[in-house]
Order: sequence, then C-alpha cells, then structure tokens
Amino acid sequence: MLKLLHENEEIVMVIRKHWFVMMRIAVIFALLILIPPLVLSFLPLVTGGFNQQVVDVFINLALSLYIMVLLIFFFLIWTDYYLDLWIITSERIIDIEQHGLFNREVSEIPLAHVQDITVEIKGVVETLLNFGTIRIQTAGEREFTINYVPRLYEAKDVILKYAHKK
Amino acid sequence: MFLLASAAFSLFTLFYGLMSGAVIYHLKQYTLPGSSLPKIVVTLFISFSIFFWLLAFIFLIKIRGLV
Repeated sequence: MLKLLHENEEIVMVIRKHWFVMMRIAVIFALLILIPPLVLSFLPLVTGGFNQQVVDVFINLALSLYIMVLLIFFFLIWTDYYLDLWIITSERIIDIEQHGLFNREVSEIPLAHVQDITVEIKGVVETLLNFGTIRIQTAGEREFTINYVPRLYEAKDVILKYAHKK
Repeated sequence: MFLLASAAFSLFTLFYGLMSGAVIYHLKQYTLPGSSLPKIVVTLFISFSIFFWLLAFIFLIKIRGLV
C-alpha cells in the first residue's frame, strides 16, 4: 500500500465512508436473519407427510449454511467498504475504489490542480450524523465527487491547506 | 439422499473456502499498515465460519443415520 507514495510524501488524512453506510447494510442483514423463523413457521403446512426427524435435520443443515452465506456476503461487503479509501497526502488526493473482488480502481488528483471545493450536507440523517459530499473542482475542469464523507469540514480544510502550499 | 447432500455440502465448502480466501487476500494485500481492525474482523469471521461449518457437518452426519 505504501508503494503508492512518492519519496518525501506523507499521509495527512485517511477518509473512509461514514459508518452509517455500513449500518444500513447491517440492518438489511439483520432482517435477512429474521427470514428463516418466518419460513419455519409455515413449514409444517408443507412437510406434514414427511418423517419429522429427517425434516428437522435438513432444516438445521440448511439454516447453518444460510447463516454461512450471510456471513461471507457481509464480510465481502465490509471488505469493500473498508478498502474504499481517500488518502490525502502532502502532494495529492488518492481515491481508491474497491468494486467487489478483483476489481480495484486507483485515481489521484494532484493538490496543485485543486481549484475549488464544495461541501454538501443534504437531508436529516446527513445533518444529524455530520457527513456528506465533497466536490473537488480541478484545473482540468474535472470534478471529483466523494460521497458519505465524515469530518467534512476537517477534510476540506486539510485539502485547502496543502493545496495552497503547492 | 446422504450422497447428494454430501456432494452439495462439499461443493458449498469449496466455494465458501475460495471466496473467503479471496476476501482475506484482498484485506491482507490492500490494508494500510498499522491497521488492526481487519485482523479482528478476519479472526471473528473465521471463528464464526468454523462454528457454523462444524454445526452443518454434524447435521450432515445425522442425515446418514436417519435416511
């Protein structure tokens, strides 16, 4: 990871998406865990003619595998979340996007090219939890957008501080 | 019935193992130095996976005795 950095370049700030993003997914997984009890409550209507002992063993086996499937998908999504990063260094902003497995995109904006930064907080949740969107306008008239950024103003100040030094 | 269940279970274990390995590889490869959170998460993931795999395996063995 540190191979990304140039000589004498130092990491000033590392930004990950706000924990609320992960919390939303965790709630969905919690709801998915609740599906089996609902299904099981209707199961006796379907499995009435079968040996109950055999049915129970199959249900328990299926439940264990179902939880394992949820576990691996949650782990995969968390990894995706954790590896999605914005690294503000003394020279540039490195945007690392992890799209699932074996799909990674690294782009960068030299701080010298930063012209304007817009901070946007929209809605009740973003206001209460203090996160939002940062738009960075660069000299090449390209706009970089970073969504779900926590510590917005701190990030903006750090970028501007180092951009002005350039 | 048991043979079919064993084959499905083996296939599931294979895919689960491959996918887990791939995710752990990504974390190991791309985590910033000094971060301890991935180690904790990986340990928890492996522990839970082993627990539920063993549970599933026990139920699979029980099928053999019943069917």
